[in-house]
Amino acid sequence: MNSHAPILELESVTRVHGAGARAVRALGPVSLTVAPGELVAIMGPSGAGKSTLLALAGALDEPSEGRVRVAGVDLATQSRAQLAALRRRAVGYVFQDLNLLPGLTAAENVALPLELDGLGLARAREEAAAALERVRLGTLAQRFPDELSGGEQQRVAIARAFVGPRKLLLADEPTGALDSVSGEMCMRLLRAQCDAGRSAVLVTHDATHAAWADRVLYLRDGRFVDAGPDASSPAVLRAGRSA
Amino acid sequence: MRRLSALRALLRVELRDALRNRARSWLVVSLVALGMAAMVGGGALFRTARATPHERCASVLGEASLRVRTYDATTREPFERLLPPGARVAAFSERAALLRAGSREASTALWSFERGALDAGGLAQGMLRVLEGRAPRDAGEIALSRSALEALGVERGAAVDLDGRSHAIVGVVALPEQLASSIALVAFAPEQETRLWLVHAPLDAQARLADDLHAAGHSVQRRSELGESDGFEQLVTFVLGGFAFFEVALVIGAVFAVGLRRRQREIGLVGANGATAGDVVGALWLATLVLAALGVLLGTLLGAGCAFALGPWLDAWNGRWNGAVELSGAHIAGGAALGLASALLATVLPALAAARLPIVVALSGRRPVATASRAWLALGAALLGAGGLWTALGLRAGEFAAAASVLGGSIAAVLGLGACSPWLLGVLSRCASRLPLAWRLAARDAARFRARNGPVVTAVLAALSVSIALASLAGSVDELVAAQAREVSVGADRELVGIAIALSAFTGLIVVLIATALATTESSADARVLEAVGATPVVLRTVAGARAGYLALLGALLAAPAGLYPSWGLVELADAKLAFHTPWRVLAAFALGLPLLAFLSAWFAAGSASQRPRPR
Repeated sequence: MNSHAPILELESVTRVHGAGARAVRALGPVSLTVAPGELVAIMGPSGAGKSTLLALAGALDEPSEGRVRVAGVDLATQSRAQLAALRRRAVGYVFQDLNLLPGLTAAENVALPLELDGLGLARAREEAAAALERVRLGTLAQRFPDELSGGEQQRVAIARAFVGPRKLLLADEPTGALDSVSGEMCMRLLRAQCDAGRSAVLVTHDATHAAWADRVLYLRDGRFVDAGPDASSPAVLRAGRSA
Repeated sequence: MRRLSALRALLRVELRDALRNRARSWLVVSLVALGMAAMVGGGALFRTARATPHERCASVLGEASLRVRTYDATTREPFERLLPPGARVAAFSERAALLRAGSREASTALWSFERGALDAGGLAQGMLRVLEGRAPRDAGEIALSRSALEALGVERGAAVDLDGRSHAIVGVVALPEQLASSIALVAFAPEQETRLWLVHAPLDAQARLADDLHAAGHSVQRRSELGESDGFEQLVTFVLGGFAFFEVALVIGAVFAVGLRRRQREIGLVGANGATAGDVVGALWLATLVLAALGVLLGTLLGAGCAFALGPWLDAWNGRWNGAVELSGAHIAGGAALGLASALLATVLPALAAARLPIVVALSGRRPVATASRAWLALGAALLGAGGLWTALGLRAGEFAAAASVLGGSIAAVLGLGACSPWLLGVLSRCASRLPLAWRLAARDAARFRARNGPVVTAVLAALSVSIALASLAGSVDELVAAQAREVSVGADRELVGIAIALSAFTGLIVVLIATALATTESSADARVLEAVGATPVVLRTVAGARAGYLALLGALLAAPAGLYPSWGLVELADAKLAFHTPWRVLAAFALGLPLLAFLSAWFAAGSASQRPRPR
């Protein structure tokens, strides 16, 4: 795959829950393209379909219609095992809370996708330590989640989302449960990772956090507004970091 | 390689979770350990306390192959002429006698054996044991059992009168199978006439000799006739033992189902990081195996320890000389295999359900959509029908096949009733509109969470049904004993049945309380609403109590048919004419007592929980 190819492509994607008279359209049709090194923020009211979009982008859910491609791979052509492998190697998640397994230390939490992928314990721990250093938590590697503050836990989650070869981070309101200082620190980390060539899609309610993104998209009733059906077009609403 | 690495990582997660939730882990370990301890300890005590075929034979005819009671009393020489060449013979006698010591008297069975017959290699070895001193050698000597010594108020070294002659007490003796009986042993006179003989003949000549002696009017007991074991007791052990381990599997299954439901989001998180369903199931099984192995180890130590600790009291308890405690390698190996298999079996459905849950649903923390309860009803009806058919056909087959059909049919009945329980919960929920608030909420919550409550009701009914089966069977045997006016000591058996009933009720209570604790956690939002509209702490406690009481009541009611079914099957299997017995008192105790106990336990637990400081 060439280095300028999109890391994430959603093509006329729709997600409908239920069937017949009980069918509820949760999303779509929407299209979105995320380039390498790009940080895209998605804003919108509750129930707009933001989390559904992230679940589809991360192979946690299947679209009713349309195509999703991650790093050039069409998710519809992948088996369950291949989708699991994709989650280990290409896509990382950060949720609003409860991101970490309480029984594992910070280092073990970060090393988890690598170990699940078959990497040796020593190598996995090494990479986890490096990832924790990148989020400036190297000294807390052996602490359990209970012993970390909310902001520190989210930084561990970000470290895990970008550990190993993963290129795409999907963050669902990662700063929602944090104070403003911790929230800003998380956004700085995300921005730094994207500046280093990785990509991220950030769902947020907070305009100051969305301002860290290269693009901000608004989702309402399952569709992008102001951006037309294709959010990858230049017509999308752009918000500068300084906004 | 990837699978191994993933298993290692997830096993770490599971074991840390087991360490973090010690109460739940100990419950699993304890359930396996209790089953194992019962198998090892109970099995060892049972084996030790029961006369083996060899011991039963030894008490009647020592090491001889035949015990003969001749038509008339005779001396040794004429009797020996009846025997084939190579046969060995030893004479002995037994009659009632009255002993006197001062003003005291004691009725005893007076035994005498030819010199050397009781010694090692003698034909009477094992019929009577010399506990202290020695056997009498001369006419003026006697040995007495402890009960005879106590009755006469004398000790070894004193003298007693027998048939007007004084005899010196030279030893203390006992019949191995009747330690409490009053007996005396005197020396056998050289030319004494007797009707009782022990004969050891070559194997090929035994049947012919027995027939000849019988034809001549003598009474003959053969070793081969006495050595037969009691098949019915083995069948009962097989059916009830198998049922008990199945019960352990169900209870552990309920515990795991509840635990995994709590950790639903955690498992979703693992899936979001790339774990496959196979990785999750494998790790859950491995972690279960670790806990079960710990349970097996502890259970073996506990069972063996209890058996050795109780061993010294065994002789006094059952009135026979039991010898050293006999630990059985087969019991340990069988118990270990069953314990591990039960725990693994228990994890199958919860683990598969957890691993197959869509990651998005798992991460959301929402309840998965429950399968339609009509499907469960159809499955339950099919299981009940299949179980009934299996038992009906199996009862006409051979002994083992019949026992297997009773066990299989009983398990199918428990599973069938359990599978019907989600449908039943739904039906009862619709009829709950006129119930008081707490019971209405309990019925509605039980139906809302019926995917979780179905296994809980199944575990409770399985726990109680073993005891109902046992109580019913014990009642049938008691009725038979009473009808035949036989003097059989059934006190110890009743104690065992009582202990089993208490244990199973306790197990059922634990399952209900675990489920109630989960229901309370899951319904915390409902509790907040209740508080917001002005519900008092008493109302909140009553709701928690009603949840527990409701599940216990349903489990107890369904346990009645599930418990009476195997009992009916075993009664049909028995050679003796047993009549089916319905243990009304046990049924009433379960149907009323257990729900009440569950209600009160949850009521008080909810009270203590509500007094904890609230998290900020």
